[in-house]
Amino acid sequence: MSAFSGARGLSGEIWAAAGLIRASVQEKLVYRFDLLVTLVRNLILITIFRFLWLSLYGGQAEFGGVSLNQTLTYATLGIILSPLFPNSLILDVGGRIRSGNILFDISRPLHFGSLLLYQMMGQFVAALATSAAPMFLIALALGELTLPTSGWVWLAFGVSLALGFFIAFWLDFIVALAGFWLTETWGLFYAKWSVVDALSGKYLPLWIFPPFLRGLALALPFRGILYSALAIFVGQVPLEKIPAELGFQLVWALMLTLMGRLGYVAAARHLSVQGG
Amino acid sequence: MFRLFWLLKWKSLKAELQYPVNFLSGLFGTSLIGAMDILMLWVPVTAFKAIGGWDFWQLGFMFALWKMSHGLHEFFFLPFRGKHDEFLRMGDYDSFLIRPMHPILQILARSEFVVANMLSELFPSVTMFLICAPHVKVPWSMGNILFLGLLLFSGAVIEWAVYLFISTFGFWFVRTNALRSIAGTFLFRAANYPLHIYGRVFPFIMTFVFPFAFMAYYPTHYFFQMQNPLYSVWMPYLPPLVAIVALTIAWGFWSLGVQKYQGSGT
Repeated sequence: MSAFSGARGLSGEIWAAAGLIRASVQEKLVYRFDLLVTLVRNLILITIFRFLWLSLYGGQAEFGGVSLNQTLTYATLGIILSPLFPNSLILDVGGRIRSGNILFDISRPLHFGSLLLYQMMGQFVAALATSAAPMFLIALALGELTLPTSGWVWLAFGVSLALGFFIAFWLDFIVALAGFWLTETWGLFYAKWSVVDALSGKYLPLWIFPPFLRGLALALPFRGILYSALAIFVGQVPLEKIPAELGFQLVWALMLTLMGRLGYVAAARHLSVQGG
Repeated sequence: MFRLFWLLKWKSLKAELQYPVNFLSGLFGTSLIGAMDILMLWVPVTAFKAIGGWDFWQLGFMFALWKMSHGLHEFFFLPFRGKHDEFLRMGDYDSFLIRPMHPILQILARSEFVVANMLSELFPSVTMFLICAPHVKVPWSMGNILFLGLLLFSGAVIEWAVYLFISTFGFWFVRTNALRSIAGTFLFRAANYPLHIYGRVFPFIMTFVFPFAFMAYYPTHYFFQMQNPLYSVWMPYLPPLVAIVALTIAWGFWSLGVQKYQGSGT
């Protein structure tokens, strides 16, 4: 299978990727009403966390070396950006295994991992354009965001988000492979969802975690999904430490890619689909 | 009629236990949600000492009340949060309406994974309850334990009433997901922190629109003997009344909606 995709060469791969990304963008745009609901939900969440932080800071402008504005920016941006990252592949893949449709996916010339990767990229791009960007502007207008002044920080933030996407995707893919062994995957879905929510710094920045937990969270790859980008954006990662932060993400992105690819070989060998 | 209801619940438990590995992995996974919610309380309260003046015991107790009520809701009333739209779309209502049992009871009995769902809410919440209950000011007398039981059931009914009301819109519109997800944001996120930190609009919504504050925030004041700062000092005693009123309104609305039912055309 992989030999076949090699034979089509790089340009074939790029054509396939572009097609899949375009298709998922179009799919997303069909559900315009859902975009509105996401907007309302995000506004509610931003309000909840705005009040939470105001209450925690209790009128002080700073806590533990972090200003209220930095924290509000972190919280708001976290709520806006976290829906962009793949987090529920396991339900999708599990469903396709139960129905047997998985056979069509894995027998295509395109690698199954790449197929899903390009689809998720499309969703990432579509969500970025249709919900995250408008939400960002709304939050900016509401005065929830303090923007970085350095162009390097903006650049690093963009790179960090992209790397975060790859970490999120391959983690999600590896967990989804469990669907090849299990018949029901919802338990695993929720387990992964909770761990990612807490350890990626989606709702709470890792710097307020107690030392032991913070050490753990900083060592694990989940932080690379969202925390890295947010901490860079609000300036909690100083300019000289940005390369190390991006390096951490890059190493995990590559390791998880490799693990995902290897895991898929084992999973495909194990696959058994019910007839009918 | 209620015997039949329990019989159907019992059957669904047996169906769940047909796949013990799925049952246990589902239980484990969904219990982690509760554990992470507790973490979301514990981390800020450890760093900042209090949230809205409440310490960890008060916050944990409020969380436990909410989550235990929610666990009861999952056991008795889940289909109105989950499957109602699908029943309308797939034409299941045709069969609900021609059987002698009340359609709402039939829908309540049509549930999947209710036991795993309930237990995964109860594990983290009962644990938190046992940790926080010794710090409560009122004594654990028989009367207070009965009042607690009444509160938990009232909370479950309040949640049900909100989702029954929302589900009823399904008779006019195809999908009610949007309202459901907005209500869910208040239920699953806003209810975790004390209501008085949210300014004016959110307390109003959580009291009069989606009255989730009666599930835990108000009653917590009774157990900790605090003066409730919002609306009235009597709020902690009102959940049973709110449950009855909310359910009456939702039930009435459903009765109106069901007359609009025209079948799915399949």
